[in-house]
Amino acid sequence: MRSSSDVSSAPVSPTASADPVLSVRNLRVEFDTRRGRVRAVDGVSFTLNAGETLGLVGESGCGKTVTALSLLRSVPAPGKIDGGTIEFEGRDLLSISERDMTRLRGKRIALIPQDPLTALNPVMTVGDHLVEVLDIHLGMRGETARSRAADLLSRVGIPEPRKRLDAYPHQLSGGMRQRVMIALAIACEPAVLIADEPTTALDATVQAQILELLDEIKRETGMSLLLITHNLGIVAGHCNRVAVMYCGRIAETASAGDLFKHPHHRYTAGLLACVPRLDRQGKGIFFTIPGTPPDLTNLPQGCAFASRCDAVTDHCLRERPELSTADGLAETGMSDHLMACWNPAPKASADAGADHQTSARMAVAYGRAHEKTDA
Amino acid sequence: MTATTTPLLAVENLQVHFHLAGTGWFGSGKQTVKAVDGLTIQIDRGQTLGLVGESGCGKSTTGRAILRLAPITGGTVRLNGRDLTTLSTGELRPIRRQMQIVFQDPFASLNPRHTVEQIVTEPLWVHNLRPENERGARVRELLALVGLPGSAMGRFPHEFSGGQRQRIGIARALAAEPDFIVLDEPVSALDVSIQSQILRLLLDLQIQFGLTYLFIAHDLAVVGQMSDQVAVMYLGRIVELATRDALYLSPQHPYTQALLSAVPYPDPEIEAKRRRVILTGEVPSPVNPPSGCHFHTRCPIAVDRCKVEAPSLRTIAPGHQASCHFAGGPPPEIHGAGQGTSDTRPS
Repeated sequence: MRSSSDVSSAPVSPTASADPVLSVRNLRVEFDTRRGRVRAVDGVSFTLNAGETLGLVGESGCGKTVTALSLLRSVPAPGKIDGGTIEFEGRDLLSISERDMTRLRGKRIALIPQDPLTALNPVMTVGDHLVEVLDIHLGMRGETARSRAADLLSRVGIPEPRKRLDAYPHQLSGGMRQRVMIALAIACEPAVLIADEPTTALDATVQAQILELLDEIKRETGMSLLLITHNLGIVAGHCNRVAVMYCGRIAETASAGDLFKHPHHRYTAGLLACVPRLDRQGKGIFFTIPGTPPDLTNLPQGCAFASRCDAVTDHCLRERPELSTADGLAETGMSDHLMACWNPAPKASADAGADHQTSARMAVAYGRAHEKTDA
Repeated sequence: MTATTTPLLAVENLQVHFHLAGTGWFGSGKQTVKAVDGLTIQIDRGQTLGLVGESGCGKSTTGRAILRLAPITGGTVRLNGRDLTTLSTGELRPIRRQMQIVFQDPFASLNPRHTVEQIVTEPLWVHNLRPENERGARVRELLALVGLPGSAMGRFPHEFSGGQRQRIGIARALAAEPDFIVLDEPVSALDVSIQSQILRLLLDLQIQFGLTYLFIAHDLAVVGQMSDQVAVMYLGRIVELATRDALYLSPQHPYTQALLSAVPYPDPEIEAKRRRVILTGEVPSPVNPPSGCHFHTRCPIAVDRCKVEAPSLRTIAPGHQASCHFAGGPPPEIHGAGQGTSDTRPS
């Protein structure tokens, strides 16, 4: 099932197994914009197993949110899903009717969107939001629904839940709003919960609380969680497996333990080194990935990361790498560690010397680091 | 901090109290929000003080009050030895050049109807720097300093990414050639990879121009990369103040320990074994702070004394102050929300 080196700390619920709950194969989403066609998602495949948390990691614009919306068939225009399959509960979600999809959306697969403030309707109370979901999907009304709504608020840790039913979104703090979004998402006990950047814009202490809450709910209900984030730091404590995205494609996928022990793709290694670490600290100790991702309407011929990579080779510039098993992994049986890189990072040195650059030396590196800021 | 020269910035007992309209007659029932309640810090030239705390602790208000963008109800703020709190608007204007600010939100802090050139030229115009015919060239210079090309000049903020907009904001702050810059959560809204770039830029500029920073943030990991000194704030007061190394190696206040605990560590093995201090609940309202030590309602080591007697900020070691009855002594028994991962429900 899993490699013996899977030491992910994320709690795996008792029902966790190798059974896939959600299977995405070769997903393609295109946006037809004035400036050209943008392949926001370009052949993405991954599997979410029962009871596990999969982290989907990447910078802004890499396609992770569009991927999440595709799972709900809620990609906004001018985006269009134009390829691939999404297997869920025995059906391909991309081929069922819109009516059938509406019955699943919010009930069997739920989404916690990125910004709780804009996602909540400002003229509806917290109670209104919850009762609406309970009514539409479970046919609950009146006092039964309100009672269940109060239970949900209590479950997500909101004090005085009955009172809070009558509160409006603007009356709640950021952390509270996020909890309300979680309550809405788990109202119908979905099999899959997608959390899109659930901790951005929250204080570090509240982030920790929210992530612990999601873990708890997962343990209790056995649901699977797709956790979308740009921060590899939070992935370490909360994900069983990780998929790293770059420019609409998967760059690397592995168990959390394997990924952090030995990131293969240079982008993964770079992202990891960017995370501020308390044990490797000091004024001026940074690692940066120079530049920004390329314009998706004008992708280069070879690997999309080549222009920012410090280990780029001619092969990288010529040919775009596909996902494959990294060399040396086959022997140890870590066959579920895949990456798309011609010149992968060697073990250990991925982070050893790279982030101990003091500002004094930055005069030279700085010139390189910022010549490409104008993507 | 024990410099023989005057610190560039010396804030003493700063108070920013807001009086809320009272209910009831004869003005009874008036409430006061003590957003900043007796804050004392000093920053030497070329150094960075990191000011850390959760939302609502008063850190942003502190930054703005120092720049006199928020009303000061008590205390003094000395910039280059001169007390800003007693100056009239007219006297303040030339001094404003010396102190600038970079805001958190790269989307809200730039006028969407102005071009980049107009945005970065404005300080030159306000403070009458450079002859008019040289301003264009100066703007190009500033943009180059922050890593933006000249072609950015004629473009509008919405055409840039979050990280690039922050660079524009930094260029604008530099245009006035200040001594002191308040960085109000400058990277909180950015991806981790872009955060590093912007922080490195800020550090390079500090070295190049001898800038002094007040770096406001909620994330202790980020603060550690930028600061010489760190002050931790809670409900308007400093609960711990130390040199960077002392704070990270030997945090004395339980709130500081909780903040450190909340920093995710990018290694699953270590995350699994880590002893976390997870605080219950949220920050109490500053209108009605708890009795005694303001932190006792969320504190894992609070005892009866803490509910009644507010500790004062006292020196534990050279360059290290903390405001806790237990600070400087042996680690006390942790009960309630302190052991391992704990119940996340707000109390």
